[in-house]
Amino acid sequence: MADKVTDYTDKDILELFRSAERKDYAFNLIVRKYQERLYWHIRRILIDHDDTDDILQNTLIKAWNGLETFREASALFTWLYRIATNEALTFLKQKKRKYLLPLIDVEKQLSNTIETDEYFDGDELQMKLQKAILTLPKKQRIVFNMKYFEEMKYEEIAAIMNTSVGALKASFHHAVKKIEKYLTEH
Amino acid sequence: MPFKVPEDYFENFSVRLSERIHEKKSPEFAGRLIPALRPYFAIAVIAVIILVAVRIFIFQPGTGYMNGLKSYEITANIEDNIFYYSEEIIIEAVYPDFVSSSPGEDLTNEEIIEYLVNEDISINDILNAI
Repeated sequence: MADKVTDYTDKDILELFRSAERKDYAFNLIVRKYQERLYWHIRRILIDHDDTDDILQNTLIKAWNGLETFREASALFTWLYRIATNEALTFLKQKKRKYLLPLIDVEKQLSNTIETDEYFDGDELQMKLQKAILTLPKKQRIVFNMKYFEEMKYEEIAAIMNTSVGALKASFHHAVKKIEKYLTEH
Repeated sequence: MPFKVPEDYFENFSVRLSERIHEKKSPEFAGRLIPALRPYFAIAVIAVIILVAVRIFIFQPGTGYMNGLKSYEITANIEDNIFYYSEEIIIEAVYPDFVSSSPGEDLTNEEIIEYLVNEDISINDILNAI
């Protein structure tokens, strides 16, 4: 019996999930297959590991609850990524409301987190790059991360962010310019 | 990526997640009971508030009656007949020390009513003053 995650396609996993007796096993396959990609996607938005851990769990719990009725209008991965993105953005909004911070200060707080985070392992240039990315508007930041770090195709990003490829290309282009400017000036 | 994760984080993640999912799936009896009772509790609280308000504002403490009539009967009577009470009676009842700046001026019922409304004087204020 195949037991490696890579032996199963998403279609196989979904079929397994819909059979009641193998539901837990199927979901475990999903978690093992996508946990790292989802983790790093969320981590690049939230910076902090503990926050990321919470949101990753929330994302996968939502997936567990919604998988039964998942209509496969999009790929499983796209659907999971969309949930993760929305959960992370909601978390940032709640953080802003909780501490009565305007969004610019939340990003500043995240920037400070990088400096003091025990789980930040980069050199000075990498820290500067992360701080530059944090100066971007949050959706532009997510687009930049997906394109630059995750090397996703514009079509994949468009499906996740529910926007057009043209808009994404423009967004990424502007993001690169802003980051270049930041790195030059700091 | 310049970020790192705690040791064995991904190895243990699915176990922790599974515990949380299955913990959520079967809430304890109290966890189910309390949300189910919440609407009834709210209704009970509202009913108590109304009863207390009626007790305080409608019934005089220890009596519940005024001049042989029940308080709600007096309130209803005043509401129905306010236009027939002379303005002097109403002003005297609400402001016993009031001295008209124009004693010779006749005020119409509409003017009285408008004054009472603008000053936020309620039926109960008049009732208490009588």
